[in-house]
Amino acid sequence: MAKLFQISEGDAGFSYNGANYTFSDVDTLEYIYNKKNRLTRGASGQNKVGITYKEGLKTPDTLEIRVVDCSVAIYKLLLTIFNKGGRISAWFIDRSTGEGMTFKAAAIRDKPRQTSIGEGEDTIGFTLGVESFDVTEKMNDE
Amino acid sequence: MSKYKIDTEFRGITGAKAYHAALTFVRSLYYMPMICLERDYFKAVEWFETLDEDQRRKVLKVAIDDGAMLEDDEIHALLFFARDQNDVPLGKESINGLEAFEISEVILDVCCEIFKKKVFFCQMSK
Repeated sequence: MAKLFQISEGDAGFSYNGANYTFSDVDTLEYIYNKKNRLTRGASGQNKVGITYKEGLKTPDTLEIRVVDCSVAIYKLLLTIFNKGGRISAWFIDRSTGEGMTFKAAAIRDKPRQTSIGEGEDTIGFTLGVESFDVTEKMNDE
Repeated sequence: MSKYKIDTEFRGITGAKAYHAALTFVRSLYYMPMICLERDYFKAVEWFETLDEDQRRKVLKVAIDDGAMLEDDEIHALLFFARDQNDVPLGKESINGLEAFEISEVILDVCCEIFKKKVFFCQMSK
């Protein structure tokens, strides 16, 4: 039975230069698909079907992974990739079905960093935000 | 040889842990009479010291594949001294993506590198 993704049943990580890294603990993934189908019509308002047009084709799709637990070595690697403008493949894969999404040739949008250091669960970890024009999704029908 | 670059310095607590983990494999040879014929511990130490690099690698491979079974933290300590193509030490983010035989090969490389420095704590010659 096909089902939607659940964070507890999948792995998130990235690939760079032929090496795969799986984050040991992630909190959320936020996927924003920027290509849209829009409707328009003339100002007379007579057309009840409208004309479709596409929007956002020059805007990349974005993925934000809230990483809770990460080794310093991986954190530094992401910083290095960000500083030199390198590309990674960021992915989420359902462990049981192999379904998932991959952001290929993705640029790291924001400098990976802890936004605050202090008491509380929100201060642990960092957000990895990537942008890509080449996003593939694999979802089985059953 | 694996594709990973092996550190030549084994410092800190992790280094000590890796050294003891590597030593565990050598000790397991003592319990493999088909490999190590010596029944006296100190003679077994001398026997291992007399082996050249290739011979050590050969018997260590037997010890890793068929001898001691390490705990998770010991395996982590050994793999920490192997670096991938991005110069990142093998850690929790990358280890689970490796195949079992690949892990054994990396462990063998790290052990061989460790034993280039010293084999036994009781070793007198170095």
